[in-house]
Amino acid sequence: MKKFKVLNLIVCLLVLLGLNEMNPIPAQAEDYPNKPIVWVVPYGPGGGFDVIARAIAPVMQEYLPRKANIIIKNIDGAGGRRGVTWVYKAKPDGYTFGYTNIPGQLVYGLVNKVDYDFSKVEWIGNVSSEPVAIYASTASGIKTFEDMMKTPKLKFGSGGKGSGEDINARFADAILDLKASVVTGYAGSHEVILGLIRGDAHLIAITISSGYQYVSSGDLKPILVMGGKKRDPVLPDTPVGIEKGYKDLAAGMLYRAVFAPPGTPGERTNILSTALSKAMQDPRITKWSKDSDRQVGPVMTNKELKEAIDEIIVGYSKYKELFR
Amino acid sequence: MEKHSRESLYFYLLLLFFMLAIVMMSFAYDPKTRLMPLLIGIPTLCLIVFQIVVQFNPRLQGFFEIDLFHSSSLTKSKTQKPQERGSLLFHTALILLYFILIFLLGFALGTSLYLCIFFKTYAKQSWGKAVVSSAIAGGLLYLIFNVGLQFNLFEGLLFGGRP
Amino acid sequence: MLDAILSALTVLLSAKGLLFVSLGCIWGLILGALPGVGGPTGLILFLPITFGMDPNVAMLLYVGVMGGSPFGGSISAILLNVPGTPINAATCFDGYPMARRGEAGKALGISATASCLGAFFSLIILVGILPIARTIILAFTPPEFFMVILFGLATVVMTSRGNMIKGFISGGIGIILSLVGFCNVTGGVRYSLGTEYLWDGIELVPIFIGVFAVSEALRLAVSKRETISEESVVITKLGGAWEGFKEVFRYKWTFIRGSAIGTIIGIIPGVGGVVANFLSYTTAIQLSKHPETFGQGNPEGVVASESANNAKDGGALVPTVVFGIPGSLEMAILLGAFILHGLVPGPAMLKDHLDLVWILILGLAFSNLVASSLGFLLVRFLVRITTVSVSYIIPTIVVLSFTGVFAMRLELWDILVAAIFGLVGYGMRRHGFPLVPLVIGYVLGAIAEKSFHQSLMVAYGSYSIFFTRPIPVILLVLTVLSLFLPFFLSKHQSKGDK
Repeated sequence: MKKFKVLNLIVCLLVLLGLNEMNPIPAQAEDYPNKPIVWVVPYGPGGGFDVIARAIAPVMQEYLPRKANIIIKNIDGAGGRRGVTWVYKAKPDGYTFGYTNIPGQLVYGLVNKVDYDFSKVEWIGNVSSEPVAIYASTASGIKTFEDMMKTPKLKFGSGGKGSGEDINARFADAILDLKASVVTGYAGSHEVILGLIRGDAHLIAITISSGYQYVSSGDLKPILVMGGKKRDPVLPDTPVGIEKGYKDLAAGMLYRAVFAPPGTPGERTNILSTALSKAMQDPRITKWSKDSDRQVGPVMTNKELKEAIDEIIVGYSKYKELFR
Repeated sequence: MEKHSRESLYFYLLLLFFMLAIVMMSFAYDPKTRLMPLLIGIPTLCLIVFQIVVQFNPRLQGFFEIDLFHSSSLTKSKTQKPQERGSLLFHTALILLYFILIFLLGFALGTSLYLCIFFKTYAKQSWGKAVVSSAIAGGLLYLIFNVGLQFNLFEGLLFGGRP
Repeated sequence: MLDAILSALTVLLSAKGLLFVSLGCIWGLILGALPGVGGPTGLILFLPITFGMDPNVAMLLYVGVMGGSPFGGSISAILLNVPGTPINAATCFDGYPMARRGEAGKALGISATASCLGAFFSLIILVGILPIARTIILAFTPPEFFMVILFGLATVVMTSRGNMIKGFISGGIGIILSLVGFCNVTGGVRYSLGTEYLWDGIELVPIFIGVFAVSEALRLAVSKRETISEESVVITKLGGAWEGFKEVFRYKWTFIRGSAIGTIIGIIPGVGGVVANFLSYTTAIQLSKHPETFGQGNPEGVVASESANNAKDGGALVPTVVFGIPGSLEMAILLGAFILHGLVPGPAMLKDHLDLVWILILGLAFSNLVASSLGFLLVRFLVRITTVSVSYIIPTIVVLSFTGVFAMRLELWDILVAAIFGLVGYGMRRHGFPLVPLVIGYVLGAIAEKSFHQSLMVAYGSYSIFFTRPIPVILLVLTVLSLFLPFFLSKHQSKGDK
C-alpha cells in the first residue's frame, strides 16, 4: 500500500516536471529566433510606451527570421526601474529585450543607487525621440515666452516626484531661473493637463506630442520647445531654447530607447535592430503614427543613439542635485 | 480568562504592535512625509489601547460601546455556536505551505501538491483519489494559463524561474 | 448626433458586432467570477489580440468584457462569499447569507436585474450630462477632492457594522496601508523596510483577495461545515431568479439611489467602483427603518450594492470621453486600446468620433443585457454550487485566489501578501472588526493625502483654500455633522430603551 502511494506521487511529479519543461536551450545561432521573444515595457498597459510597443511589435515580428512572435510584457513599478532591472538581469540570449525612458531612468541613476548600468547594455534602437516643450494653459493667460518670463509665482504641474514632467520642470526651472514651484502628485500627464485647465498650475513640460492635441482644442498653448538645436517642424511658431540663449536646454529630449541585457550576442541584437528599424519605417506604422498623433522614430544607428545619450548625461549631470 | 477573550487580546496586541511600529518609523521622516501617518496613526493607536481597556473592564463597556445597529449582539451569539472547530493553525500553515510550494516548484506542481495534501488531510480521501484529482487540477491550471492564455505562470525557483 | 447613434447601431447590430460583444461579455463573466482575475486583467489579455482589427469591432469586445465582469463578480460573491472583483464586496454581506438560506437563486436574480438596469441608468445619465460634463469635471479641484473623500471616509466608518471604535481602528489601519511605499506627492518612501517590493506600496488586489477570499476559505475550513447552503436549496423554474427580479422593483428607491451614487462616484477619477458599492450599501442601511436586518440576508442590501457597481461604468466614461482621462483602471486600458487602434483620446473625441462614443455606450448597455440574461438562464446550474462539498470549494478558492493575484502583475510576493491578509481578515472577522473601513481606508487614504498636499501646493502653502471655496466648506460641515450626530442618536436610543 505504502509503495503504491509513493510510486503514484513520483509518477505525478515526473509528469508535471515534463509539462513544466518548456525552455529548450537553442542549439546554434542560426536557429535564432525559434521561440517567442519578450519585449518588456516598464510601465502599465495603456500608457505612452505601451501603446507604441503594441503597435510596432506585430509589424516587427514580420521582419524577424521565421516570423517569430514578439510578446509584450508589462512590468510596472518603481517609476519604470523594476522593468528595466528585470531586463538588465535577464539571460542575454536574445529572447528578452526592453524599453527605457531616457532621461527618466538615467537621471535617477545619477544620484541614486540602481541595479542597472546603461554603459553596459546592448542598445537595439530608439523607438521614438522627440523634444520636450513647455506648454501653458490658456486659462493662465500666458501666451508667449516673454509672458512666461515676466509672470511671478509660476507653478508647474507634474506627475509625481521622479516622473518625466517633474524632471523636465525642475530642469527648465533651474536653467531659465523661473523661481517656479512644482505642484506634483498627479497620476499621469493627462491628469496634470486637466489640473492646468482647472487652474491648479500654469505650466507643464512634456513631449510635444503628449500636449499637442490640447493645442488644437484650445486648452494649451506651446510656449517654448526645450530640446533640440532648431525649431521643431510640428511647432514652427514656437521658439526653441537654444535660440533664446539657453543652450543647456537642448538636452531636454525624451528617448524611448530599446536595449538588451549586457552580453547578448551581436548577431542577435543586429537581427532585432534591423527588424525594429524596418518596422518603424513600414507604411502601416507611419500611418498609425500619423493617425494616433504618436511620434515614431527617427531611426537612429547605435552610434547615433549612444552619442545622443552621452549628450543627455552631460546636460543633466550639471543639475543632478535637483533630482535626488 | 475565557478562550475567545484571550484570542481577542492577542489579536488586539498584534494590531497594537503593528501601529506602534508604524508610528515609531514615521518619526524618522521629514515633516511633510510624516504628517498623514502620524495624523492617522496616533489616534488609531490610542483607540486600540482604549479598546483593550474597555473590552476587559466590564464597567466601562456599557458606556463606551457605541453600536449604531445593535449588531454586535448578533455576532456574539454566532461565535458561541460551533461545537467542533478545526485548527486555525493547521489551515494557516497549509496556505503558507502552498505559497512556498509555488515559490519553489512553480504553479502547476505546487498546486497539485497542495491539493494532494489538502484532499488527504482535510477531506480524508484515499491516496489514489487525492493524487489523481490534484494532478488533473494542476494540469488543467497549466493548460488554461500557459497554453491557452499564453500567460506564463511562475515555473518555480528550482526550475530556473526568477521571482 | 442622430447619425452618430444610427451609425453606432449599425455596427453593433451587425453579425460581427453582436458576436464580439457577446464574446467579450462571456469572457468578462467568467473572469469576473474568478477572484482576483476579473476586470482589468481580463481586458489586458485582449489588447494584443485585437491589434489590426477594425477599431469599432474591437471596442465592442472591450465593452463586452467591461459589461460582463461586474455581474460575474457578484456570482462568486453570492455563492461563495468571495467577491470576484473588488466592486462586488458589499454584495457578499447580504447575498451570501441569502445563499446560505437556500435563496441563492433569488440573490442572483436581484444581482442580474440591478446590474443591468443600473448600467442603463448610468448610461442615460451619461448622455444627459455630456453637454455640461466639462464644467462638472473642472469644478473638482484638489480641495474639493479632499473634502469629498473626507466625507466618504467619515460616512463609511460611521455606518460600519459593529462597534464604531473598531470601525475607526479598521479604517485607520486601511489608511496606513495605503501610505506604504513611495509617495508621489512628498517624494518620501515610507515603511519600505528597504525592499523594492514595498517601495511600490501594497496593491489593492492582494489585500482585497486576502481579506475577503482567503479569510473566507480559512473560515470555511475552520467551521467544518458540510456545504455552503445550510438549508435545502430552492429550485423553482428559474431557480428563484424571478423572485429576485421583482425584489429590485420593490426596493426601487434603493435602486435609484444606488445607481445615482455609482454614476457620480464613477465620474471622480481614481475613486471608482469599490467606493461606490460600499457607499450605496451603507447609505441604504442609514436610511432603512430596520438597519439591523442588513448583513442577515436582506435583499435590499444586494440591490444597493449591485446597482451601484455597474453604474460606475457609465460615470467612468465621462472623464474618459470628455478629457481622455481615465475614470477607472479599465478605462485607462480602454484609452490605451484607442491609441493602439489609431484613435486619439482627448477633448477632440466628442467632436470627431461621436459614433465611437455611441458604440461604447450602446455596447456597454447591450453587454449588460447579455450578462444578465445569461445569468437568469444559468441560475439553476449556478445555485448547485452551494450544494457542493466544502472540501472542493475551499481549495478552489485558495488556488484561484493565488493564481488571480499573481496574474495581476506577475509578482510572486503578492501571493504572500494575500496569504498574510487572509489571516488578518480572519482575525478581524472573528473579533468584530468591520472589513469595509479597512478597504475604504486603503482606497481613499493615499488619494486623500495627495489631494491635501496638492491643495496646499496650489494655494502656495495657504490653508485658506479649504475654507474659501463653497463646495469644500459645505462638505466639511456635512462631515462634522455626520461625525457627531450618531453620538447623540445612540445616547437617545439607549435612554429610550431603559
